[in-house]
Amino acid sequence: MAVKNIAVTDTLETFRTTFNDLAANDFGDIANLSGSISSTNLVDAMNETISIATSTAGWTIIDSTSTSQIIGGGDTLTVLGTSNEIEAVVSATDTLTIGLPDAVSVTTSITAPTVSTGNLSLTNGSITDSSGAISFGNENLSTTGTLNAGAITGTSITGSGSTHTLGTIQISGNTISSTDSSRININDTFRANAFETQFGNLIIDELLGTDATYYPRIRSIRGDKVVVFDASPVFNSTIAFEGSSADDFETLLTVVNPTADRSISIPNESGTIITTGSADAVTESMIAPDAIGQNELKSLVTLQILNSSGTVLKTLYGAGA
Amino acid sequence: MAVRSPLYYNAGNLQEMSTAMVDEIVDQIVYQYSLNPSVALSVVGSSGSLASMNDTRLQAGAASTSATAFPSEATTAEPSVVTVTYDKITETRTTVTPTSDTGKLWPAYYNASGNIQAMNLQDVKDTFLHPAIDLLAAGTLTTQQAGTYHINSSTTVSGSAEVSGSNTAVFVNTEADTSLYTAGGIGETLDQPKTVTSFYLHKITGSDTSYTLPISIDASNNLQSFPEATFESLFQEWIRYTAVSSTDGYSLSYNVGTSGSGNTRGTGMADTRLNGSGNYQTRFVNTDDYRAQEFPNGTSTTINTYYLRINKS
Repeated sequence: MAVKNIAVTDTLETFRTTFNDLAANDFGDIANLSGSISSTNLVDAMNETISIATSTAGWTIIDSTSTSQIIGGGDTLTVLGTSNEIEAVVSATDTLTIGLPDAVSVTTSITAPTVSTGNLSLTNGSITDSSGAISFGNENLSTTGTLNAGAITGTSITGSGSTHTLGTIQISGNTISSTDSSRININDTFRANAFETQFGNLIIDELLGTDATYYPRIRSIRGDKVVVFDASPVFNSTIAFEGSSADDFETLLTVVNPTADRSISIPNESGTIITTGSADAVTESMIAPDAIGQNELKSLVTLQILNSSGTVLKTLYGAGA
Repeated sequence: MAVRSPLYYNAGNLQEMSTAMVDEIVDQIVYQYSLNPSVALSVVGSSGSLASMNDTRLQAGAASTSATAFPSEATTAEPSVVTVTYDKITETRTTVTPTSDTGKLWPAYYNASGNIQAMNLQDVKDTFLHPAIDLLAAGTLTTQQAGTYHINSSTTVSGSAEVSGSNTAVFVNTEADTSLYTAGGIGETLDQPKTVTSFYLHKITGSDTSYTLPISIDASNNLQSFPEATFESLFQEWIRYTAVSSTDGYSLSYNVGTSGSGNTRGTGMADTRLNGSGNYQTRFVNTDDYRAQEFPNGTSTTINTYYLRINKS
């Protein structure tokens, strides 16, 4: 703090700034004067202070609530702790040690940037343990917030409320859905007692047969039993038709192992498929015009029409007896 | 010789014709021939193409006259023979050019190999044409000889038509009419004949008999029953051609004579004549006119019998 000096030649502004600096920094703000001092100007305060200091050897103690108490010369200051909270220990020659007991009990709260116990540290938004594991024993953990975890393991994970989300997989009641897609990918074998489509019209399950083994089953629960195949199904070699009665009898549709791509077309018409087992089944209209050759006739007989010179004009073919 | 059994359509099947059915076709061919015979006879005034026939009769000998006594029989002229020649039948043969066989012209038959084959011309001849000619050339006078001719002494014969259309006899057998010769008329006309029998040419009328049309091979080599008009036209052509132009023994011709080839047709045309040597008669006209004349006498005796014959050759 240097002496403030206003030269004759200084300007009024220089005077103003110098004066303000003198008042603020050299004299100080009267508002900051101790409450124990009743004087309202610097000289009177200094005088009052000299008076106190010189009249007794006492002093004042104030707690966090600004409650103060003057400890006069010769008075005793008793310092007490609170059980399980804080303890005070006086020691020679003039030492007062304030500390915490081994077992601290805080009635309301404890606040600290970091709370550590053993390997465990509690700090803002974090509970960590240097051992790499924190055990909650058999306690139940609950949060109304979000539980983020690298991995969750346990014998039972139970949530409350109507919707639970793991990543983008959301479980709501008995419904699992994706929060960011219209599809859930299962990158592994997925097994269930039965698979149903959206409205349950198609069911894939297994049927316990009379031979006590399970048979894979795909069924439609529509009244008309329709299953739409907008696909090109590839079967191995046989398709079995149970028919209207689930019994020991089936009709098998079997293909001989193809050695090249084959194509069998079912015509755009209604009718009954004819097999080698059919009898008296092929009707006239099923045979295309100009389709029957002589080789198809049984016990072929021929009838030639000859001209008068014996030259064959036409040969008629017919089935023999 | 290959007589075939033509096939015909029988209720959806093809069947070989029976012999009777073939015979019915032959009869129909005869009928077709009768509609337009290619060997036709006609009655002409004279110079017919067939041989002529002579009708002979006796006429009285010329009368003899004497002013003193009756001429003796020996000196009286004997009756003589008058001959009238009939040459009134002419044969006309019409040339026919029939449809040629292109291989499918004729009916079809079931051949030995079990196939259906069109007949060839020889088959048709053997099966139809020659049997038809055989019938036509037969000596009987039924509808199976329709279109052929015969002689009858009547102008009307059931089943036949008189050919001239005017009842013109083709032969008249005459004899001397002895009743016309009288002694009182000596100086009689020598030839006073009477007609014993006139003979007329008749053509047998055909009968359109029923028959079954055979199967033929059409242009598309399909089988069909012959169209009736086609069948009848075709066979009429060929029976007419055969009757005129056959080179294998089945052409028809007629001849007239007391003998000849072929079957006689109808009544024999007998030329009869009295066989007497003369009936000597005298006539006293007056004492200066004594007459004698020999009239025809005797019994009627056949001199010749002419026949119309139909011959196939």
